[in-house]
Amino acid sequence: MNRSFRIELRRSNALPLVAAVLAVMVLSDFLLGERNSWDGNWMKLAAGGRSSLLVMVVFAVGAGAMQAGLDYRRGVVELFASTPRPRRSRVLPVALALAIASVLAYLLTFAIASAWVAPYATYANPLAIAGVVGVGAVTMVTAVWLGLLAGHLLPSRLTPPIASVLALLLMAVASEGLGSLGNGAALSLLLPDLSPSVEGAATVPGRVSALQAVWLLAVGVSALAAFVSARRRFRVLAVLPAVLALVLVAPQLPHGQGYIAAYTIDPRAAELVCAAGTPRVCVTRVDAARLTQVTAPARAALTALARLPHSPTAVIEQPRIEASTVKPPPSDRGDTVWMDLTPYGVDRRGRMDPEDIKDLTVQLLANVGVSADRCLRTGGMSSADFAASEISTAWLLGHPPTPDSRLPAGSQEQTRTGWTALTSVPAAEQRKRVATMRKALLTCRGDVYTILTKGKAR
Amino acid sequence: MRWTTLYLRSHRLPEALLTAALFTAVVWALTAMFGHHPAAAPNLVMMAASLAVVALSTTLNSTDDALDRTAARPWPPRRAAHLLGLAAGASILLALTLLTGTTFGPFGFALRDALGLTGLAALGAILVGPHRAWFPVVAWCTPVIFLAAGRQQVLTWMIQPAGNGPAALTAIVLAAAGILGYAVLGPPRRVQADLAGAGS
Repeated sequence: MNRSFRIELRRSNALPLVAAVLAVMVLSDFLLGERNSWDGNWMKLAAGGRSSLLVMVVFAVGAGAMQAGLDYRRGVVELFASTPRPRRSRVLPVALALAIASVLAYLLTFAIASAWVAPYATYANPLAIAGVVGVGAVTMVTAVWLGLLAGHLLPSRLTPPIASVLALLLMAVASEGLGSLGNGAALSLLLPDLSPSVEGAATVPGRVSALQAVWLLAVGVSALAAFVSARRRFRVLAVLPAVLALVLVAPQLPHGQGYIAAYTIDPRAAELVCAAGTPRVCVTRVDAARLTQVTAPARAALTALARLPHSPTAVIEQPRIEASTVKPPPSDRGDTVWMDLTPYGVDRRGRMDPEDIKDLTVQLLANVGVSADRCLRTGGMSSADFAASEISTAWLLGHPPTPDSRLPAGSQEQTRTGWTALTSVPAAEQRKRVATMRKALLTCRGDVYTILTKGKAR
Repeated sequence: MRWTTLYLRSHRLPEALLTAALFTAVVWALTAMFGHHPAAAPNLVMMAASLAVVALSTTLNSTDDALDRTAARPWPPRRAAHLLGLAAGASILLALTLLTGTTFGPFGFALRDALGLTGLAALGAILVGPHRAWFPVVAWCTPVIFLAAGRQQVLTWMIQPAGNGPAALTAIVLAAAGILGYAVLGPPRRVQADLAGAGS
């Protein structure tokens, strides 16, 4: 077994598989990936590896199917069947060699990519990351064994390409299809596809990874058993592990829709790290590498807000997985501006885009520094609300609003007329109106556009 | 004629054509069902082209390459014609969609992809053997499915707009290298030795 395993390691598709996966991943990630820095965040890197499985399983399934088809191409199937040596002792070394190669390919890709994350990473939860990476590695093994089974059951020269393409389609389409099923357990987690969460403090709990690993490994074991068994009866029995795992795992998956159901906020990653000096500017531990870059624009926003009475005194990053479900902490009395860093990535040298840094001040001043989540206005904001936000931001920054193509239709015109209306009154009245708008947003009462343009809420 | 028929049949052309047509039809049907524009996205056209080429490239596989070589026939023009025929077949399959409501086009785009990918498959046949000729095609196209035509026009040549210079040049280089190389060199002898006495 040991010796034949070593021979198969050299003779089979194992090494070409490693080489092909590495070559394609390195080419596509490092040449084509524009800002694939994973923000110096280990969890984003681990999840990024899981989403590249979409490409990697194509190679794993193809390598397995090609390998299993070789006996037929060589015309030795009947010859081998006539020997007293059991089939399993002949094919297990091949299956093992391919499995080890596929795991090696996956881990090497992760190791290479981690060179871009390690220098800027400020937080790691080793257990959760090992879980996410482990599920990816298990998926590669399962894919190789499914490929072996496909090549064995359908010995045609068309099998390897068709199996590869089907694997790609299954990964791409099935997760969408399963994701839209009902409101119960997130069945799309039965597939290993996992996109990085935009939120840095998000994590996949070890329990979710363990469930996924058990299920995927069971599918792999079923495929291997069916591939190894020489008799049809055993081949049918081989589906048992997969069915059993499905019944056990599916009800226990977290509830929700799509891969996002896998994520929760890691409380330790979300602990605050604050900049030296005042006013207070804090980010989560996991984003701490960005603290020095966001401090200046955040303080600029606080300085602009200081033109108003009872102005906020701190900027604090608020972790969020889905914007619509976030509510500010009950302690919030309007003395804090909540910062959302999810739209801003960092490049491969850990730096934020200068445009993003400029944009951050403007974003913090939106709605006069009051989070749109406070009254759950996200998505419910009217064009007048957007216009009011534009006008107040421009007023705080002391220059006329610049046309913004991202605004909904109608908002641009309202911004122009509203700005004229606001600036036509004396400075003291302008200040009073913006302060009233802020109060209205904090208490979720009043029409902000009317306050700005006419001075009174209707 | 008789020779051609026997040659094509021994290389399983009917099965390959059927599979290529099936692949194209499936991608076409999915695009027609879920797409919002009559012209399919470049990534989908590439997918259809690559699947057609993958299916057709299985005809490079012969039952016994070593035996083929012993035939006293001038092989280079025949191999070149075989590959050009595959590229033509793939382009015709894609061009058929121009008659329908969901198009894999423009024709220049489809022709470039079919030619370039056929060349890539031929290079695969030279380097890793005819039975793995499909592999470079799948390996190059799979990551590109998820990319947008922007930077790195040479690496993503299959999804660039029809008139793009670097993309067309890449396709021509691949096609020329693959078709000429395969015509002159044929399948590698190493793989033949590996498969000596192959039954199927």
